[in-house]
Amino acid sequence: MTRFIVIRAAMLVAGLLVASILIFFTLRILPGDVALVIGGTQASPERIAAIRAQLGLDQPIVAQYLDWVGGLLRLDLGTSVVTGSSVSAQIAQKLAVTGPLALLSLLFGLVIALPLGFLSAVRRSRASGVAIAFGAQAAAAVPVVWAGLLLILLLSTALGLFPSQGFPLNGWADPWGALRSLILPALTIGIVEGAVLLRFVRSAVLSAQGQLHVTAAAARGLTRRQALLRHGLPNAGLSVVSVLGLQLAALIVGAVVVEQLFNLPGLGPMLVTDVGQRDLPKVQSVVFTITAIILVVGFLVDLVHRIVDPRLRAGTA
Amino acid sequence: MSEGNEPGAPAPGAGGSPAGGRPEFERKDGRGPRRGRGVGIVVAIVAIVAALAGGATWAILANASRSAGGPAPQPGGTAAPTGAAATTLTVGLSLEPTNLDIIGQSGVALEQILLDNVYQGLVSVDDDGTIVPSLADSWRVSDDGTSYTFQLHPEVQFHDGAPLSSADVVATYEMVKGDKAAVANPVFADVESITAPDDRTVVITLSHPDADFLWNLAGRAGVVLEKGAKNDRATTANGTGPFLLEAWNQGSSISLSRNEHYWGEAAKVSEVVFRYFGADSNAAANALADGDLDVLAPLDATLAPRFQGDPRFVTGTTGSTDVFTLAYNNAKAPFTDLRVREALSRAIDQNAFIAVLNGGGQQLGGPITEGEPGYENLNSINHYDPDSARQLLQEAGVSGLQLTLTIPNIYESFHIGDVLTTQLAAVGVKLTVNSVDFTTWLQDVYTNKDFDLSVVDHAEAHDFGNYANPGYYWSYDNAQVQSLYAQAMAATDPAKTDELLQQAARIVANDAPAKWLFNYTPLVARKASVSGFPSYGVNSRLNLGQVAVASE
Amino acid sequence: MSGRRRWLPALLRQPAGLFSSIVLALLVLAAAVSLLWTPRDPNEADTARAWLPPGPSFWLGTDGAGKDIVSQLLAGARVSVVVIVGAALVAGVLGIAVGALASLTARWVREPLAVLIDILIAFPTLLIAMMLAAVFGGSLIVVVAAVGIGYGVSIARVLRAEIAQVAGADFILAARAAGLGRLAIARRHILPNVAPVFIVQLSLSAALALLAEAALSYLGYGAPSGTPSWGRMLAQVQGYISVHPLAALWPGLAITLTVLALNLFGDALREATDPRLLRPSARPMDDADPADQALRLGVGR
Repeated sequence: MTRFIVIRAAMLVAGLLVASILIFFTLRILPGDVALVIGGTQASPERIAAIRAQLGLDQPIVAQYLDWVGGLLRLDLGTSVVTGSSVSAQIAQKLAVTGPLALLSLLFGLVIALPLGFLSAVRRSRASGVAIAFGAQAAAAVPVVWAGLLLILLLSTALGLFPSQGFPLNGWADPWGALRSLILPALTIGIVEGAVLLRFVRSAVLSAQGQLHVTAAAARGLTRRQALLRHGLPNAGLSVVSVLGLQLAALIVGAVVVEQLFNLPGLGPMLVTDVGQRDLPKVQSVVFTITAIILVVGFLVDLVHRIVDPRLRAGTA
Repeated sequence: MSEGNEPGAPAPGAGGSPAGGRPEFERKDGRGPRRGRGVGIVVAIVAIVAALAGGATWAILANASRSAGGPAPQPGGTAAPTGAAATTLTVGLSLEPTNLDIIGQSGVALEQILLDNVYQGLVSVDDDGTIVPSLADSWRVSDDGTSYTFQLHPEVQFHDGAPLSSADVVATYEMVKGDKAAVANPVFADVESITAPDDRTVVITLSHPDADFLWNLAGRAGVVLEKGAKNDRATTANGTGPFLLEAWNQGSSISLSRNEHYWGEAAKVSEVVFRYFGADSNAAANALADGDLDVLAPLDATLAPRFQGDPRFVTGTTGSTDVFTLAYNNAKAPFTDLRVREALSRAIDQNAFIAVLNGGGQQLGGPITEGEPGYENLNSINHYDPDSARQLLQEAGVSGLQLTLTIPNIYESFHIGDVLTTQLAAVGVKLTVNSVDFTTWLQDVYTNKDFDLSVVDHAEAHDFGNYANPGYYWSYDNAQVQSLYAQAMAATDPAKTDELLQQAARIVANDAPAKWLFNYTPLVARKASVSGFPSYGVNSRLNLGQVAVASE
Repeated sequence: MSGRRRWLPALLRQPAGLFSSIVLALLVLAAAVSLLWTPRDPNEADTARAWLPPGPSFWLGTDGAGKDIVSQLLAGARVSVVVIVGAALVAGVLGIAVGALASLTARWVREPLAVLIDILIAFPTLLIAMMLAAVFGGSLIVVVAAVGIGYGVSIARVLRAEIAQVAGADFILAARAAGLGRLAIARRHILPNVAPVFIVQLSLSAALALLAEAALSYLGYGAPSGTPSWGRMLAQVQGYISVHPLAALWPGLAITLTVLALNLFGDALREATDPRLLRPSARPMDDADPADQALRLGVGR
C-alpha cells in the first residue's frame, strides 16, 4: 500500500511539473515576445522595456521559469502587471465561488446519474429504460449556455424560485443567499454532466451483468434486479468515484461558461477578463492553479479508491 | 440505443434463474461483504466531498483575513455613526476601471466613481455645468486671466489622517506637470508656476489665459494627493472625499464607506457599492428587478419597458456630453484623403443607431454637444448620402477598401459593428469588426494608435481640445483649428470663446476626421426610494455625497 | 470483412442511424446551399426591423440588429461543418498517431508516453483554447486547434488501451508466428479491430467540438463577426431572452440537434460495422480501468 502511495505521489509531482512547463512555455515561447503582446505591437520602446523589467523578462528563460515555480511553491503569484493587485488573493477570492459551484454541480450530477443510470440499465429492454437512455443522449447534446438560459426562463423568470444572476456581495457571510445563487448554475452544469455520467453508470451496471459473482448471486436465487442492485450499483458507484478526477475537468469547463451567464464572481469571468486584457503572466498562474487542483483531486480520488475497493488492495483475492 | 463498449454476450444465467428462492436465508448470507462495499462507497464519496469542502472553506477563511474583499479597518480609528442608520446605495454600472490609479490610468471609468467621492480637487462642477467650490473655498482670477489664486478650506484631512495644506497641492500638480505618462499632463502644459504663499493659499500662473483651465481643474487634473504618500494608487486610495475606498472585488464590485471625518457635510449613505456588469445588460436588468440594485446606469433601451410603468422604479433619460465617436486613423492611408473620410461619413445613417436607443440618443453633426460652449447644429454637414459616398470613393480612386474596426466589447448592445458593416458594405467597403476588451482598446488604439477605425464613447465634457491636439490617438492635424482653439482658450470673454469654438468646430465637421455617431443620453433607472442621484453626465461623474435612500 | 460493404443498409436500418443520417445530411446540405443562396444576407443589419416575429419575409424573425435568423442559421451551418470536420481530423490524426506510439512501440517509449497522456488529459480543453486566444486572439483556427489537441489526447488514451488489448490477443501471436511483418499486422489485423472504437470516438469528438465552439463563441473567442456561427448567434441574443425568448431558441436547437445526431450516428455506425456477434469476447469492466470506459463515453471532456 505504501508503495502505491509513493508511486502515485511521484506521478502527481511529475504531473504538476509537466503541467507547469507546458503552460509556462506555451505562453512565453509561442508569441515570441510576451512584452510585445502585453504592450501591443505598436508600443513605444520605453513602454516595452518597462514591461520587460517588471516581468523579469530580461533574465534567461530558465531563470524566469524557476522564479515562477518558486513563487508557486510559496503560494505567492506576484501582482498583475495590468491591475496591480495580488494574484493569489484574487484566486483565493474567486475560488470561494467556483469551488462550491463545482461541488454542487457534482452532487446534482451524481443524484441524476446514479439512480437513473441504474434504472436505464436494469430496464434496458423496456420503454422506460430506453426513454431514459435517449433522454440522457439528448440532455448531453445541449450546449451548457442554452441549458442555462432555459433554466433561467423556467425557474427564475417564470416561477421566481431562484435568483437569475449574481452572488451576495458579502459572499458566504450570507450562506443561504450564496447557496441559493449557486443552485441554478449548479443545476445547469449538473444536468448536462449528469447526462454524460448516466451513460457511464449504465454501461458499468450492464457490464456487471456479465460477471461471475453476479451470476453466482443469481444462481443463489436473487432476481436479476436484486443482483444488479447489490453488485452492479456499488460497482458502478466505485467506478464513478474513480473518475471524479476526470469529471472535475469537465465541471470546470462548465463552470467558466456558467459563471459568465449567471454573473457569478468566480474564476471563469476573471480568466476571461485576464485573457481579454492580455495579462499573460496572470493567465499562466490561473491556468496552472486550475490544472493543479484537477491533478491533486485525481490523486486523492485514486488514493481513496484504492483504500475502499477491496479488489484493488494488494493481496485480497 | 448505444450501450457503449460493454461486453457483448447477453447476461448469462440471470434470465433463467428462478425469482425468489429462499430470500430470508439468502439475504442474510448475501449482505455481508456487499454491505461492506456499499459502506465503502459512501465513505469514499463523503471523504472526497469533505476534503474538497474543507479546501474551499480554508480558501474562504484565508481570503477573509486578507484585505481584498474583507471589511478593512477604517483609518482614523472606529468612529461612532453620525446619526444616520447604516444605509447602502448599490449602483449598477457597466465598465469597470482597469485599475484605480487616478494619475496614471486612463479611462473615464475611474473618474466616474472616484471624483468627488474619494478624490477631490480645488473645484468641482455641478449638474448644471457650473464650477463650484470643493477643496478651495474661493478663488480669484486675475484680469488678464493668467493668474489663479485659490483659498483652501481649513481643517481638511486626508483619509490617512494627515492634514491638507497648500504644499500637497503644489506637490501633486508639479508631479503631474512633470510626468509625461500622467493622464492629465497636457492640462498643465501652459502652467508656468505653482506656488504656495502660505499654508492655505495656492497661486497658479499660466503663460497665457486658458478658458478651460478651471474646468479642467474640476476634473481629474485637479485631484489633490498627499505629498509624499506611498500607497499603491492602483489598488488603494488616500483622498479627501466624503467616502473611503473600502474594497475592490475585481470583476465584480467596488465598495466605498462613509468618511466619518469628512471636512464637509457628511454623506447621506453609509456605504456605496458599485456593481459591474460589463456588457451583460440582461444580468444588470435582472439585478434591478430582483431588488439587488438601487440605481442602474445605464439601463439597456431594449430592456427598459420592463421598468417603465412600474411604480417601484423611476426611469428617465439623463443629459450628457457623451459622444460615440467613430474615429479614423488620420495619419494612415487611405484616411489621409479628405474624399475618403467624407465618403465614409456620408455612408453612415445615424438613425440606425438612434432607433434602438429608445430616446437615449441624439443626432450629431460635429464633436460639440448641446450645452457645451461652441455648440452649433451641424447635422447637415456630411449627412447620410450613400450615392455621394460611392461617388467620392470613385473620385478618390479607391475601390474594394477593406478596413478593420476596433471597438470595446462593452458596446455590444448598441449593435454598432453589425450596422456599420452593413452600411459600409452598401458603398463597397468591407469592414471587419474586432471587438476587444477595453484595456486592450486603450493599449492598441489610445496609446499605440494601431487601428483603422475605432468607436468609443467620449464621455468627457469640453474635450474639443482633442481635435486641436495632433498627438491625440486619431492624429488629426489642422493648423487652422489649432490656432482657432488656442485663441478661443486665450479669450477672456466667454462669448468670444464660444464664437471661436463654433468656427473651429465647423471646420472640423467639414474636415471629417471622425464621424460623430450620436450624443448618448443614457437611460437611468432608480428605485423610487432613491433621491439626489445625478442626472447629468452619469457616465463620467457620479457625485454621490447627496444621494439618500429612504427607508422602505 | 465481408460485412463491410453492407454497413450502409445496416446503418439505415436502425432508427437512430436513420434519424442521425438525415439530420447530418441536412446539415451538409444547408451548408452547401448557403454558399450559393440564403433568403437574405445573413450579415445585413437594419435596426429598423429588429426583433421581428416570424413572418413572410423573415421566416423565423430577426434578431436585435435586424439580421434574418434563417439566413444566419444557414450560414452558420458552414462554420459548424468546418468545426466538426476540422476538429475530427486534428483529433483523429493526433489520436491515432499518439495512441499507436503509446501502445505498439518499445517499452521505454510506451511507459513515459502513457504517463504523459494521463497528465495531458487533466488539461481542460477550454483552458487550452483560452491560452491560445490570449496569445493569438480568438478565431476559428484557435477553436479547431484547441479542440483537436484536447480531444486528440483523449482519443489517444482510449486507443492506447484498445490497441494494447488487441495486440495481446492470440490471433496476433499467430500472425507473428506465421511471419507477418509488424506493419502488415498493424494494417490488417489491429486497425480494423480498433476501427469501431475509433469511429465512435471520432463522432464523439466532433459532437463535443461543436459544443466547445458554442461555449467559446459565447465567451468571445470563436468566429469573428462577419462569419455567422450558431455559437455567436446564441451569444448575441442571450442577453435579451427575458423579452425575446424565441430568438434564443433557434441556434440552441440547431446545436442540440446536430450534436445529438453526431452521437447517435457514431453509435449506429459502430453497430453497423461491428455487430455484436463478431465482437471479441467481453472483458469484464473489473479489470479494465474505469477511466478508460469513462473516456469512451465522453466523461471529462
